[in-house]
Amino acid sequence: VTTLERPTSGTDVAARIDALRQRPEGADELAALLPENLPLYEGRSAAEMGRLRGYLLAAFADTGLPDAALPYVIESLESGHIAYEVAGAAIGLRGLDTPSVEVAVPLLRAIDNFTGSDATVSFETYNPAWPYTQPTTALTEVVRTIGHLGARAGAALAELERLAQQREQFSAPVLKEMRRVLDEAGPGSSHACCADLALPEPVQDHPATATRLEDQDGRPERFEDFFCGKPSIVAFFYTRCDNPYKCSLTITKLAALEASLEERGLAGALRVAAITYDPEFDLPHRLRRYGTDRGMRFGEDTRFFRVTAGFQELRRRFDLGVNYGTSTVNRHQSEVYVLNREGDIVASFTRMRWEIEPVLRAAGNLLAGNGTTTAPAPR
Amino acid sequence: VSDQAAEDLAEQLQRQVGEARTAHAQYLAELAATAAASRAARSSRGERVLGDEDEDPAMTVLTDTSLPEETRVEVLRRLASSLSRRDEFIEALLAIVRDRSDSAAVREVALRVLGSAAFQVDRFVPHQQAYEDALHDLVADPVPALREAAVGILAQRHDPVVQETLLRGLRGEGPLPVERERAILLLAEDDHLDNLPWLQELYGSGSEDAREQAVRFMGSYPAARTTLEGVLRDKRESTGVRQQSGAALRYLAPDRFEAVAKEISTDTSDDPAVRTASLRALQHLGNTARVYADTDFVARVRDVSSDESAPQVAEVARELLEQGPNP
Repeated sequence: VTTLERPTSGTDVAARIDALRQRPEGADELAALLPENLPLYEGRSAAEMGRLRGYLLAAFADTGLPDAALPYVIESLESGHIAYEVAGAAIGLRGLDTPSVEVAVPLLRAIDNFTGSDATVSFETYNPAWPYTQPTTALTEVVRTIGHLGARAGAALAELERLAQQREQFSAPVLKEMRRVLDEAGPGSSHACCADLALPEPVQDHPATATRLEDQDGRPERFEDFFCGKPSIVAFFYTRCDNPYKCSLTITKLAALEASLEERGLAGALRVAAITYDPEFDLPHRLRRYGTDRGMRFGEDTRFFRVTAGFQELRRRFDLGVNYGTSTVNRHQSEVYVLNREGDIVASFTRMRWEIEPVLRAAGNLLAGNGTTTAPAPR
Repeated sequence: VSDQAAEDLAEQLQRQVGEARTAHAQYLAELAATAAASRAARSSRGERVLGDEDEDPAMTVLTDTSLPEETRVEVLRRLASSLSRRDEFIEALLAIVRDRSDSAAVREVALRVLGSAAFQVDRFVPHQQAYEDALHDLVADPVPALREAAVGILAQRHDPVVQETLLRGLRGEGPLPVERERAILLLAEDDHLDNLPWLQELYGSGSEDAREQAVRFMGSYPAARTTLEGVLRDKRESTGVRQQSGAALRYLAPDRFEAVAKEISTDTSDDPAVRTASLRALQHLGNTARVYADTDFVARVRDVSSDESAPQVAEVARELLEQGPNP
């Protein structure tokens, strides 16, 4: 499936998804289509990427949801900002048969994200024309999935009881779905069922590259000169990202992380950086403005970069979860890495929403002399 | 203002407020009478009348399609804020907007009232989805004004359904709900779509205003750098389009803009307005220190500053020199 190349139309990709969803072994092949950096996705617009992602994720409801696909479903639930994609993720989660996985948090985040911005979507075909014959909405599907998972949705069912009282926050159809789910669940069915979500994280170790950088003040820098010599924390982003739950949130958190380092007296011991996915557009003044607006305090050890040469090397080095349309990024994951003083990756926080403390712990282990060559458990 | 003038003004304002109150009270009385007649007529026909429970005359009149459209439009215009205060009233407005058999004028004003109500985000949340569904319905409405309004609202929200409709229309795969030029500009609001080919089409075939908009939006596309530079240099192009192209190029590639602006601003055969704008941009917006450090350019500006054939350009050139490190 992944050998499908860019000329394949979105409709043809969807037809392939439809064929795979009918087959028992289709789940793994569908999962192989999930990484956004496949050649198949190059040159597509962000809108088409969002539509394909939603359609693909929804197919796991038919095939069952393999472990490899779960991080992608969770990513879309907690960080998706397009109703179609989130609805697809919610539908796909119904293919989950692993009872030990905690999915309440991403489901509730999806409800929080879409309260007030829900939209009518449809999965009757790929890209159906308006008016839809089988309309639904992102929130309707999230609520339906909570009902489908029952106790496996953990605290989400209990929270649904509270949300259903907030009539002014939801449309009538969503409230009706909430009531239906709660009525079917019956009294006392909502209890937390929490287990840590343990997902494998890639750990990579690459030799230095000839990647050339330029920082937020226009100063040139070699990759090795900044990222070697001290451990560092690096995030990826781009200033034109229109998803408030991805780049903007990542940089805001990076600023908070930087402040935490200062409070703990670690500011000089670690470097903090962010590198743009969109180096042609993200000129130095844009990097500075974007960071400053989100609380970054730039200094010698805290800098934002764009790549001026060797971007493909950098992309391979981090196996960046990003792809491009003809003008800019069409889709990307959230990704933050901890590098040792040789510039090698020792911990990765990718795909799902990252939190500050685990990143600090990974960096702290590094400073304490642990994990210079192996990854600390990042999640 | 003298005390007497202030008193006269206060008296005049009080009189105007009084007149407005009287007129409003008179309107409400007439509305109540119209509503009572409507209620009676509809009751005799066995129809349910919205607003009957608390005898809200505005909603009674608004939902009576047998009344003249001017009467119903007047209700919407005069009482818009009170019409969006209750859930069932918003639902009634949505029903009017979606009803293609109803008066186009009433539907248009009802859509505007809903648009205003949608700004009261907290109160409107339960209706937001139904409102957007209604807008999606209007994209294929036979009334052009309703179509254009709905497409405009949805496109500004980067709505995927309307974006797909516009793209299909531009590719000739379906009807375009708005003029082609407008469709391209609406899609251009979203720089994550691959709009550059459409913008280049618009630049090649559009009006002066459309060309100006096209180059403005091209500022989001690094691949448009060469086009923008070409437009900025094109002496046959209008001043406005060239200036907008310069702004877009400066946004996209400030270094490239600086080089081109230096050439244009000291080219005595070029449009004085474009030369002036280029000089001002160099003086105020870019890397000013680097501009003043370019001794060759500063020498050329000195020549321009004494060129009597282009006095406006000369004046701006003198300003640039005076504010430099070596005035």
